Amino acid sequence: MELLKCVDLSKSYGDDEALKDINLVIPKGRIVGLLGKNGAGKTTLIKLINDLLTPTKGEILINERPVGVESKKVISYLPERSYMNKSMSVKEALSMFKEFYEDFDYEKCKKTLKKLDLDMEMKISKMSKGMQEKLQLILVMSRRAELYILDEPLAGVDPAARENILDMILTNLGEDASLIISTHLISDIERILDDVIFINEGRIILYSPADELRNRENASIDDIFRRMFKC
Amino acid sequence: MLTKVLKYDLKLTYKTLAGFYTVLMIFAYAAGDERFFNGSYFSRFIEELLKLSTAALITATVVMSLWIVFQRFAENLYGNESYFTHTLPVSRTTVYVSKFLSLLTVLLTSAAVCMAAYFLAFYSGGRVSEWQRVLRNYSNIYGISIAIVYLLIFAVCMLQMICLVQCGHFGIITGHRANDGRNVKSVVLGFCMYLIINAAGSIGFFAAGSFFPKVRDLFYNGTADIKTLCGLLSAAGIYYAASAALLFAICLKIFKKGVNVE
Amino acid sequence: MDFVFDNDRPIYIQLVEQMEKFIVSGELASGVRLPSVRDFAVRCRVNPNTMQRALAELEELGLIYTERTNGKFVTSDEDLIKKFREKYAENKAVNFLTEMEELGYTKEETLEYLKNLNQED
Repeated sequence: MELLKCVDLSKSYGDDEALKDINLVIPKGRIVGLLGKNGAGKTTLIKLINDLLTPTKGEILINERPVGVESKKVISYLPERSYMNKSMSVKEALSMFKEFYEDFDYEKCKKTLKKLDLDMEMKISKMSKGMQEKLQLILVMSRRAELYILDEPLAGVDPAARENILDMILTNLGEDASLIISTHLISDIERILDDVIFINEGRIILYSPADELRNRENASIDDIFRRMFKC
Repeated sequence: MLTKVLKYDLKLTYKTLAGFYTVLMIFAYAAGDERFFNGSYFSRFIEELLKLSTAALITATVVMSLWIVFQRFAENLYGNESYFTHTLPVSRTTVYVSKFLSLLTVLLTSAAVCMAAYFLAFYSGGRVSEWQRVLRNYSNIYGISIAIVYLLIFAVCMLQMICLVQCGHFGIITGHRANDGRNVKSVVLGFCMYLIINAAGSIGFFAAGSFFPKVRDLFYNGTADIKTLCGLLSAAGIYYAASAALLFAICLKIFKKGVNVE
Repeated sequence: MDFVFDNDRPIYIQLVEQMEKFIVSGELASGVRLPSVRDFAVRCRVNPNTMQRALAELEELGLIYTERTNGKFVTSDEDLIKKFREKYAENKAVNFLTEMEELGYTKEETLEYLKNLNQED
């Protein structure tokens, strides 16, 4: 079953082509790593799927329907920036999620926040950047979505806390749900990936099951990536 | 869904505005309550100072209301918050209608608060009845309820304001379709739209002058009878209302095509 | 039970190997019920699909079996476990002997060496 499908998807800004003819199918129940250097087009692709950009060419289908209200009901998206209004408290942010998303599990979210020592009464403006990122990840993972899209969820987190975050992602991921995780910190997450997508200069270079790739190249995804892009 | 979106739009707008309203009302009350002033030179000085501050605060509240409406619009639809707004399971029409309704609400409440402050500070106590007497006098002279004239002026001002804010929204929406220089383009485009609307209005006014001698008199003498004034005000009101409706339709149409957030 | 992975080889193969070892050494006792695939995956911090694949492989080997409603269990077939243990031991021994040979020890010398080592303990 095709959860997400991109057909001939392109996005340019004036003469600058950020994405070129992306064709991509992501089925249900997969964890997919979207791997690429900074500026490779990862965020552009993710923003297109989330209706934050309008494609120059091509289309995106979610459950065989174009991006819109229905697709937003089933996609849970974590952007690479703070996107909550800073004047709200953690509690208000939770109620807001609850009001807008039918699939939001308020109690589970509250429990996870407690486990990770985040105070419900705290104002978002009083939180450190790391805490804000943690809060957003918890909010996003507390939905029972069909597709989770996490844009660089590890970037601002110190290495010690990364394991915690991976745990949280794995624990909360539903049976048939898929997850797209974009990152340049490959070694930290490659263990949990079903499939990997290498993206460079706006094109998909490679899309393969992770274990198959390891088998073929006898190396870690991280090494293969470094070799391919010489970084 | 509209009520939910509107609820948060209003909540986040009034979080800042409520403070302004409160300060303004406190100053206005203090400036207008004569019990505070015993007639000494110093208390006169304080009274004048408070009145002056109230006048300044009224201006500030008007400016702030407009600023907050624009700031919320740009941040919520194109800033960091837009990542939240545009990924909500809500149609773009709902999002835009909510923004329009909150602009109406803010303009109305700010107008109400400013007027209340004005009366509290400058027409307190006995002076309110004096003002009522003046009104009654006028209405006797002109044979038309002066309240209607005031109401018309108020309506035209409000509609003009609604147009102004929507021109700003138009600027922000079109400016953010560009790939760079978005803020500058927003301001320039919004300004241009406002100029166009008012220029077209003025041309209509001149045109009316060539058909109606009484309107022409207004150009020569600067005076007109109350009926002509009411007619002109009504025409202006209708013009601004139509412009507002047109702007609404244009903005919504462009907005529905999709966004490109940074 | 701690799983350690390196990223160079397929994760599911490493899972199979390490589970095998846990079963052979008795750290995973015979007949014991395994957690659900998802819980197990979360505990090992691997992808549920990968865990599923590893468990399928182990099932093929006969080291675990599925009871339709109750979940997956470690085999109670002691003979099979013994067979795997022997295979494991054989592998280790052969490897060891080859390495000793490379160091220049003959089989007899290696045996002698091991005996002496044992006495010193």
